[in-house]
Amino acid sequence: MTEPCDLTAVEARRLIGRKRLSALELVESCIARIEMTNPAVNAVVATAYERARDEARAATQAVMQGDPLPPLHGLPIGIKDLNNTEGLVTTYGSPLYRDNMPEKDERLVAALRSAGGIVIAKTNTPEFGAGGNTTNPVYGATRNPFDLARTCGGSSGGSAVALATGMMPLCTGSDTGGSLRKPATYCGVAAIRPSVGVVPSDRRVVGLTTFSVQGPMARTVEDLGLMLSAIAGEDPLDPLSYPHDASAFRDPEPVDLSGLRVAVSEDLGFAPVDNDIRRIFRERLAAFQSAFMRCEDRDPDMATAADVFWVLRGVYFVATQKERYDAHKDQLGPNVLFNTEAGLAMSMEQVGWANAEHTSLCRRFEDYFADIDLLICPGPAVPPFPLDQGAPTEINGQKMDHYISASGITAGLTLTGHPVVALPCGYDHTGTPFGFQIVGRRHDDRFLLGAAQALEALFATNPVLARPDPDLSKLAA
Amino acid sequence: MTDPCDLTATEARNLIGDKRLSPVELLDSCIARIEAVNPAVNAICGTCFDRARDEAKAAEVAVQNGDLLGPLHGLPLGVKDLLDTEGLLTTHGSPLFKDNVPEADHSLVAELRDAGAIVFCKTNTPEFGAGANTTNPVWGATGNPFDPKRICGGSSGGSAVALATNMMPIATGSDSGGSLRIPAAFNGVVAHRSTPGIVPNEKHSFGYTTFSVLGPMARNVDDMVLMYSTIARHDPVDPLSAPMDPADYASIEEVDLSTLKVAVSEDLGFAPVDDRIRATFRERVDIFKSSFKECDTRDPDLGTVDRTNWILRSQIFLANHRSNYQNNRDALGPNVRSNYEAGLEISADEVAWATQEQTNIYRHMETFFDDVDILIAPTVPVPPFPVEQLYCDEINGEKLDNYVKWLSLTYGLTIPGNPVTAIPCGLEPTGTPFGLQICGRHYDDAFVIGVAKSLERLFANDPRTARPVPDIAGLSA
Repeated sequence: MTEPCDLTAVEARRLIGRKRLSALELVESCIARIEMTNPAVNAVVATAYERARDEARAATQAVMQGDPLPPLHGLPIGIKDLNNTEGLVTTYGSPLYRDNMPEKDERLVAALRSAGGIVIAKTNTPEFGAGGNTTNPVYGATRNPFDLARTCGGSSGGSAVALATGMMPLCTGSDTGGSLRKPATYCGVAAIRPSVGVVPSDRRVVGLTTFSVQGPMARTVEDLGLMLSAIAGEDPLDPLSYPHDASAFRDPEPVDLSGLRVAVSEDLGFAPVDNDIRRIFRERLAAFQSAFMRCEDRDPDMATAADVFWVLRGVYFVATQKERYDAHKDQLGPNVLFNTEAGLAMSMEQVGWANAEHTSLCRRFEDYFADIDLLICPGPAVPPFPLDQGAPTEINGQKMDHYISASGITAGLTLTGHPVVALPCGYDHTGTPFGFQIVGRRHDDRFLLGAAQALEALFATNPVLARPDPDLSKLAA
Repeated sequence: MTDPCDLTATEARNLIGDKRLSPVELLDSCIARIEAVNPAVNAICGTCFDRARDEAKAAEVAVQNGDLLGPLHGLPLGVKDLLDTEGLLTTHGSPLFKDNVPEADHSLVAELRDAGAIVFCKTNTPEFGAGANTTNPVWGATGNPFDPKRICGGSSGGSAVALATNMMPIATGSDSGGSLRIPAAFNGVVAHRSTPGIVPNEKHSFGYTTFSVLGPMARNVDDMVLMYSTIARHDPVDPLSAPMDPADYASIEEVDLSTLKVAVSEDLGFAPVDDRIRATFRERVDIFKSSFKECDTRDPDLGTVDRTNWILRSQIFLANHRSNYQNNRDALGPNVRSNYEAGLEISADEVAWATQEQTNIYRHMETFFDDVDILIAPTVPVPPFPVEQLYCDEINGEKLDNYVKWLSLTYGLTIPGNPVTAIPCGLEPTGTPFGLQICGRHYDDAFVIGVAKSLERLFANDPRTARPVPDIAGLSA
């Protein structure tokens, strides 16, 4: 039986507008689902139920009065615990912020609320978003709803799990090395890492970088577009923001797959990727690649990407964590400590090299994209790993240097700043969801959403490719 | 008597379209002017007069055939010697490149040629554009046409002098710490430093930076806009380039000055500025301030911009000159060497800090423009000094730290990346041109240029503010 909380955002919003579903009914359904499944998965870490109920009542009144309704009117939204939420505890997964109560919503949250969204809960994240396993000393680990012993990915892991289990139709995420994409593909939900600059942020400490991009997470691509339309737009507070029409994302470009030129890459030419994941990737592709006009194996030239990413990430950690590192070193977790110290040890020559090489790499990638419409590659490099393992330690027998080494397949695309949709596609060989990264031309997010929506529709027709749902009955308390 | 080379670009282009001026005649007039005046000022480096004559003849044929003519059809163009020009010597002002003949045009040059411009010479620049005295071991010093013993500014000094003496109607420039604006001010011409990304740069080594912005230079705002409209475009080869409508820059309207809230700042709150220049700025503001709705003295808070600029700048020198420094140290001039060596002393920790500070400064400027429409400041803090002096090391008796410190008025606006149009406004007390920076909000380039256009018309009515013209006959050999 479908509960209101199982509706997509677009369906729920439509029913709300037609007075066939009340916002309060929807909020209550989401709360009930959280109460039922969260004890098993630990995705939701703070809640604002009473305020959400009040806002839902007001939303219903607005419907009844015939007020003009904004695009997310009455939709419950989960907010990643890295985002500041007014009056709702925001810990960043760090004991230093265990009791941190922001006075003000950050831009992303304010944009969602002013578009009618109802903030219902915070979703878990690793400490300061560092790493791909959503666990931290404040709230503990979030579990994969398909296998509670394994990771849900990260750093937007709480959001991905909340969506997969129907706790809410929309959630926020953010992505430096893959933090929107990895949890989406591990949990069978969708996410878009928008082109850098499309979703402006007042929180980005370093403005001129492709790191730390905020984006929507949902169960369907159409829902991603709806949410993106509410959070995109020009805001001069973000140095990479540029003038564009955000509302266009609500209405993605209809894309005919048979007209597309597609490049396929198992590993972006440099990233470590598990052999079984490569095999699954090939098998899935074989099931649908004939839909495209052209689909060929072609790796981009990203040989230096791992080194560039590591240096730029080190400098970024120093910029964002140095003050805390100096004042509260003993209260920082191993990933943050390790990454900040790696940054502090870098030489100016390395940093200069990495910045210049980053730009060369971006240009080579633009050349690569000159005659293709999409690039398709695997989402994660390995299947979800056991919860107690911080990060993958080896791939195909090759030892990983550090906690980011296994993230090349997502981090490489972070460097280029291109929009990427993470799209679920059946199960991997271990019984957890498998997913693709679908990469589009930079600044053409609307086209990418259209292409992803067409693929999603195609996948839905084949049980091997369809989006997996977890067995909620096994999760119920 | 007016020679064809004395026409504005707009006039010349109209006459060419009307078949009342032949591109050949115009080119010959420009070449004759170079031959007459260049010995006195040394603005011109490599030339390709024969190829240009062939192109001018072809341009003439196109007019006679009734072909569709580009916006710059038949206009002779000078290209700064930092930009690659196919088949035309491009030295970057360095002995290491004294015989360098590129095989392809930089995309900016290609765009201008596509629009009908005729490349006929290169214009002088300091070695690798480092510094604001246009002098180098390959070509020597470019003199100020108002007093050839003194500097013309830089690094786009050759272009500014060539425009001031009517050797050509349009020229290219580029600007890291003020290199479009400073020579424009010292020579009484016009330039625009865009919001980074509007004029895409396919070559700069650091993509995510506000340094190294390419731009148009001309004798008046209309001519500059004519040129700007052909080079402002979207090209993903530049990481900061975003989708845009070129029509936004095709014809820029004047702005009604009486509607504007203007902030005037004689030192941007931090820059060392010679007392004579301060006095000149105040005098000029007194002349025109009544044209605005409101005009108040108000300094932006650029905080740590000095140190931020020095760190970010040094980082680029480290990346760009590493192999030159390691292999040909003796072939590098003192500015480049000192900047490289200063970079070696900087830590990754400081770079991280500077990237963060840049973002803070950027955000401060955006907030500053919440209350005012336009900021007006002087462009250069001192009158031009003798060409033998590499840079200004003292202002009002105060010693300056390094070779760029005297350029604070311009790099102060480079770091936040706001658009700035540089326009002339009479003479300073030592008899050379005085110039203003007209600065606005990120991406509001058309508005900023529109204000500059209105001011230009206002200034023309008063001999104290009108554009100064050098004694060309006195410079002629």
